[in-house]
Amino acid sequence: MYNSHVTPQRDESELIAAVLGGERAAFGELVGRYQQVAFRAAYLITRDAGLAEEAAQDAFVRAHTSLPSFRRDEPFRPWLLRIVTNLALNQVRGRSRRLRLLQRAGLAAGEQRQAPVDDTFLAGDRQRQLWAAIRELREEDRMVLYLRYFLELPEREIAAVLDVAPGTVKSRLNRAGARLRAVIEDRYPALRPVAQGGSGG
Amino acid sequence: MAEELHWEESMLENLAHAVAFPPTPDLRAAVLARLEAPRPRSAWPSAWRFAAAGAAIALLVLIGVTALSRDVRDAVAGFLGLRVEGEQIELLPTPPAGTTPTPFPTPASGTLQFSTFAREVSRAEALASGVPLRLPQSLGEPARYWRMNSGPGLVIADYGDIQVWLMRYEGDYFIGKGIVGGGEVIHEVEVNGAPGYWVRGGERVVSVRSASGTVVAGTTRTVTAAALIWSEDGLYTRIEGAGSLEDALRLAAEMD
Repeated sequence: MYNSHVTPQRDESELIAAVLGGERAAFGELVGRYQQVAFRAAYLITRDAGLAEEAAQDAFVRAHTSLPSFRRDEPFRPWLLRIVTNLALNQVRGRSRRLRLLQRAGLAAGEQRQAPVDDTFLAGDRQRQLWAAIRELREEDRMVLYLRYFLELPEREIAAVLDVAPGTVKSRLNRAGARLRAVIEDRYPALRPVAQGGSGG
Repeated sequence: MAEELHWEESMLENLAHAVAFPPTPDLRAAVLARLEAPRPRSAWPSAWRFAAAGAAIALLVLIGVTALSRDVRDAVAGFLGLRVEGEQIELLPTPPAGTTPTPFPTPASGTLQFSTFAREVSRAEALASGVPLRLPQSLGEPARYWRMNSGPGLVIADYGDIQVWLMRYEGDYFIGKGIVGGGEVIHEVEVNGAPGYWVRGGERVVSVRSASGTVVAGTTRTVTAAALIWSEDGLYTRIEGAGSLEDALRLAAEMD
């Protein structure tokens, strides 16, 4: 009874026009189209499936509210991801604040929403170490790496998500890469690939 | 040389492919439900909310426990959540004729309906949740217990045709119910001396929500079974699936 019968072939701009015209079901189709990337973006930041779902859900609601101000000549996905990442980052900051307060009060064990361990996220020890290295980067560096490598966005969309000029993305990626190398060299040297022609250990 | 300088790139690519993301929840129903039933209560000063709720409940008392008209329910439903702790009932707009219905989840049945947000546990594990297992004695031991994976302390005693939900109400989570199908009846009743509701008919979209209104992952389901809902001593209780109000009240009386 409640299965959607929205025409599946409508492109993004048609769907947005339909939503703005009052067709609520068209927004459901947009949600279906982008919910995976929204959820994953939020999950990379929060590392908590529940929080990620909250952030993604809130982002869609907010996007719907803000849709009249959306520039129709721009792609929807990076605009949505900008909302998602902002909400997810706010959640993480809020969680950190709560945790600090609880720790100050000696009640840290009462915090139920801590990020889960990485075991379910990554299987291998080297992968977990690399993930740990990424987590030691600054927020700005992590974000550009998430968008480029984990969500596989093209540079122009990364620029739109981060609200920077397209040329800036390349320099941010280079900078984040250099900082990641430095963290690995310093803290996780075992991850460093063995140079060709070396002893091979 | 460039490859040597940027060895982290291939590591990142390999890592990205090794990541096991949790399954993406289907957000459509929850998002559309929130869009269709915005929660205006927060915009009201609380004194006004309570005054309006009082007026609405007084209206309900005047009308008695007979079926309410849609208009009356529209006026009242936004405030019903104040009456039973842990329950909020919203009326979702009926789609105009000829429009596509909102794609809410189709009704689930059997054990599958809880598996998206809860896990089957032993009685001991259910007890360990801290939720008092106040259950109807005449139904015997439940076929299974379910304990919610995250969010509030919530246990479901599953008897097959009847389920008893027990949730510790601490103000952070509540059960949100959107009534969409039409033909439903909301009765104001008294359960073991506490205010409650008897809801039957229609199709209700029920989910567990946080105080901000966000739906907890996997909890949205369409319910057609009648439900008796009340709250006592901070324990939110709902009996789903009883055949009649009298049966449900009898079961409630057996719970201690």
